[in-house]
Amino acid sequence: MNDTLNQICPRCRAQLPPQAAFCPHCAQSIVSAKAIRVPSVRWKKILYLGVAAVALAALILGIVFYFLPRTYDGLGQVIYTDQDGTYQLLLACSNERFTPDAEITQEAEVNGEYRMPSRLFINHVDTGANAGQIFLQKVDSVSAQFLQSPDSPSPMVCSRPEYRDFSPEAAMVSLLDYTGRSGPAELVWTLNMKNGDTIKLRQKIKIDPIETYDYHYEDYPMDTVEQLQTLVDQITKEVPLPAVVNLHLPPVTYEGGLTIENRPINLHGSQEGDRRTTFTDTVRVAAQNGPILYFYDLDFTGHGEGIGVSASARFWAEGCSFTGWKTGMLGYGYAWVNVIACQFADNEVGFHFNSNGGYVNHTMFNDNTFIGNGTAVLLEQVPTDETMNFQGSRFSQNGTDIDNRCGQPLDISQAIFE
Amino acid sequence: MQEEYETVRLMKESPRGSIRLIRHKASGQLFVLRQFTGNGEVYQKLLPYRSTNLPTVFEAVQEGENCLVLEEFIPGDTLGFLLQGALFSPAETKKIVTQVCRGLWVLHSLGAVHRDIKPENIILRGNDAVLIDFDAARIHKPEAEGDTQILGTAGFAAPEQYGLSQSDVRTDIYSLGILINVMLTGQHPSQKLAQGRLGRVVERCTRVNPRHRYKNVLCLMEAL
Repeated sequence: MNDTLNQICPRCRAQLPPQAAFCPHCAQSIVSAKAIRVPSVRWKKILYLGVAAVALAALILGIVFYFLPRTYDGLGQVIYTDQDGTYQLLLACSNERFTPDAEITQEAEVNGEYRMPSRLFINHVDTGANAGQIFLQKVDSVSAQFLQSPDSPSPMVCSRPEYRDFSPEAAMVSLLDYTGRSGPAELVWTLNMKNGDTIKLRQKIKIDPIETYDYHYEDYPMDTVEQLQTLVDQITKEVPLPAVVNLHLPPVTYEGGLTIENRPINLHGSQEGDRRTTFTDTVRVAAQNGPILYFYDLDFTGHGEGIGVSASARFWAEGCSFTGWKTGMLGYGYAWVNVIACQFADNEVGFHFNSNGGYVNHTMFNDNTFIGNGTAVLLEQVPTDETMNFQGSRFSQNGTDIDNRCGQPLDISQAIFE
Repeated sequence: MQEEYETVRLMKESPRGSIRLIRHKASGQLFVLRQFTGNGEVYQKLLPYRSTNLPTVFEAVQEGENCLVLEEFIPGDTLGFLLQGALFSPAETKKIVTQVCRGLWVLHSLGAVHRDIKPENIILRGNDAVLIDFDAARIHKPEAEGDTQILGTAGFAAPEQYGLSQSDVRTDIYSLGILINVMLTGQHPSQKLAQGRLGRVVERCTRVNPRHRYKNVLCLMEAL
């Protein structure tokens, strides 16, 4: 120990070396000592346990979440991913494969009945390829239903989704029927996947009633075909679309032809005793814009030449007769035409369909009578491959009942051939 | 000091020095007086600190190669003595080794490595295990190696103490692994490895590559 003494013990006052830590005289330490505490490992354990617990919980949740069936729900479209890739599932009314129609507003006459398609398109997101049929292999079942108020005066109805030839790019199509009095509704497609997932696709559909203008022969001059053409032309100029125009014709025979173009104008015939509204020359329907043009309760009577009605626009004849023409009723261009509860008699060709459009109004051609025609029905070209249903139609004494040159699918199971 | 203290007994003597139990005549207090040649830096660093699991160092003086250390006398039996008659249960082993780790942590935090952990250097004072004898700590490696071999504790020394690599705190981890195994089985792990989880702790403590051992005593305490 150092011999230089210049430190004094605080207890016994003995002189000590300057570096001394202990007083050998009183046997006491003269430095203040501090206790060292070992860091607790408990907090670390707790931290580890906590982190492990969180990680385990996350893992379990991840596994559960991964394996639990999931429900996808989207308005207009849903993006769905599985081990094979990512898919865009969308609903559209048009034939646009990549553009969902989430909310649709349809103009409709109050008393009009309408049908439109809801198309399910399925696209592979990475490649843009149409993955409809491949994706459907993963699907267990598909259904569609409308959610709407029970108070709707005319509830919308949808058909069971299925593949439709007229929309080959769509995986499935449901046909929606509604009227101008239908309240707003939500269409819900439900795809139940084989892996337990559920995909719900929604479309909101709202009907926007459109104005209807009725012109009665008691109020407007329409006794001759000239007056009628003038009135038609005037209305075409003065009444814009989408308003619907109905002309209620007198029970007269119009000598001469009539042309309706630029806008649809519906013609309603009338009867008084034996007299019915009759046209003896060609009525041409060429209103390319606007809704379907309707003829009700009209007679078209010819003399062996010409065409009773030629329609290059969407057209519907109901309760009409076509008698004595080279062609009673001709649909051509790109138009879809319907004849329902009509009579075709003594024509060279009763009903001639020669159109190659891509649109369908309605598949029903029901309750017609074809009698004494050279060829009752000539199907040269028909838009789409939709089946034409002749339920309740009667074929009698025709040279040829149906000349189906284009091989159109027909349902004649409930037609009558005599 | 010779006037105020008397030697109770000579506890140990070797060519490097001696350890004596001395008594302060006036108060009757017992102290351990160490005299040895070597590096007393570890004792000097311990002067300002107190730990339940280390003896209190009251004075440490270095003059050239000569060191004089006055430290607390720890009454009690050494683990080495107790192991002559019985083994320890896993619970007792964990408790004692954890306390030794606490003492070692103080040393390691001062940058020192004990280098001579063995049952004879651990005294059980009541419920506390106290790690003693820091003479081998901080001694140059050739001397430490010789000293360890002289003390007959080669089985407790880590491979790197034989020059395989530089010693660090993991050298003591190795010795703790041997200590655990001896407390449980009475034998070196190469002869009989302890069973169960503590056996795996021993196995990890005694890996030849220090980097594969517990990296510090806190990790070992956590494993225990």
